[in-house]
Amino acid sequence: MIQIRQFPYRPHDYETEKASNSYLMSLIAAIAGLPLPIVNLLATLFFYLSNRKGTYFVRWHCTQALVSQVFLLGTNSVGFWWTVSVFMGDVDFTNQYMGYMVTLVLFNLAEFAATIYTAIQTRKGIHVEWWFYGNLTHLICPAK
Amino acid sequence: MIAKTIIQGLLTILLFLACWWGLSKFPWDQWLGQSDSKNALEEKLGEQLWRLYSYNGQELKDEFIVDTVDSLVNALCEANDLPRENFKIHIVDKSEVNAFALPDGHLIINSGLINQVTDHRQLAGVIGHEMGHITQKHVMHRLVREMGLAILVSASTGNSGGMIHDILRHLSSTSFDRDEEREADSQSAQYLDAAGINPIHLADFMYMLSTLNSDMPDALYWISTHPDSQERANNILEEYEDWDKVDQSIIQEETWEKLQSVMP
Repeated sequence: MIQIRQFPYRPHDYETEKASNSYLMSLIAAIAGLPLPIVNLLATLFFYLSNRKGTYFVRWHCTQALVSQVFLLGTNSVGFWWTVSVFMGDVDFTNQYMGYMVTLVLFNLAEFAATIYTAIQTRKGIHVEWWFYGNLTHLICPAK
Repeated sequence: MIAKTIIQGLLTILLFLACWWGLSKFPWDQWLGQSDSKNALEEKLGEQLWRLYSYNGQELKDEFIVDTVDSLVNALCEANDLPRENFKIHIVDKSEVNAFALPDGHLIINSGLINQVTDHRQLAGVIGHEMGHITQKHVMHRLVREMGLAILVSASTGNSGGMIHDILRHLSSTSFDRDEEREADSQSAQYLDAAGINPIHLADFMYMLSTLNSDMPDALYWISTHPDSQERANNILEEYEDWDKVDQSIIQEETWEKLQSVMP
């Protein structure tokens, strides 16, 4: 799911700090933004925009931190509004609902752990690529 | 690279769906005790709010009063296929001309309202209006919209008396939004129509209250929480001006007069 790859060049210390911060940003926003997942995405998007003219290493990791949240933004939003509907009595409490919420918790925990790991490794200058999001990042963030 | 990315993306979605499908097979509703409790939050809130309101005004439990008002509610429920157990009617000794809905189907009717209406079909119209708020789930929608889910969950635990007091004051003294009021009017008119009662009785009551002068604050209570009454009354009149059925009486005139005479 997570692979350590060789980056085209060895990043400087200031680059690894900025790249690592992009993951930390998403973590802090995840805590501050609960239960509205859009806050999380907006915070990372803001960080991405402010660093899009940075070096390739910084841009690449800011992009991976950003795109890695898109999938969970969708699933978490569905979970949030489904929960509101259950609380308001619009829909019933079902096993499908609980199955979805537990799946959501598992995926969020996995992303949470992966984000912490990646932030630490990136700070050390180690290039970490995630399953799917790594390839996606290569497609939308060319080396120039 | 593109094909590989798409395949990985699809596999991620498949993994998510497989987890969801597998976890849905567990009997969560039994483990969490949710089988018989459709909406624990609404139930708790309704119970807490009704308990608080009952401290301020004594609930009238006289058999004659309860049975007479129940006969109106039963008639509306039977004619409209509404489960009677969804409505918990409370008649309270309070002079304010008011009726309002609380979460979980609690419907409060003040004695002041029963004294003020001139015909039992007007009372049926007001009850139908509040039943409309209940069936359309306006109460919980409004609370979540105006107070927030977190406050409601906190208030339902019973540890925050101030919050529950604020929610009760909010529900009993402020109005729903215009669309919700119109929807409740429309529901009430349909309920009355199905029960063989001319919906114009509800419009009559709205007109009557809106023409009372402002030195009768008790009488103006329901109107203050239901703005634009004349306009809404006009809407009902326009919609049902061709109503040509026989206007039914749910209860006899003597019974109604006796009810008003025994009201505090």
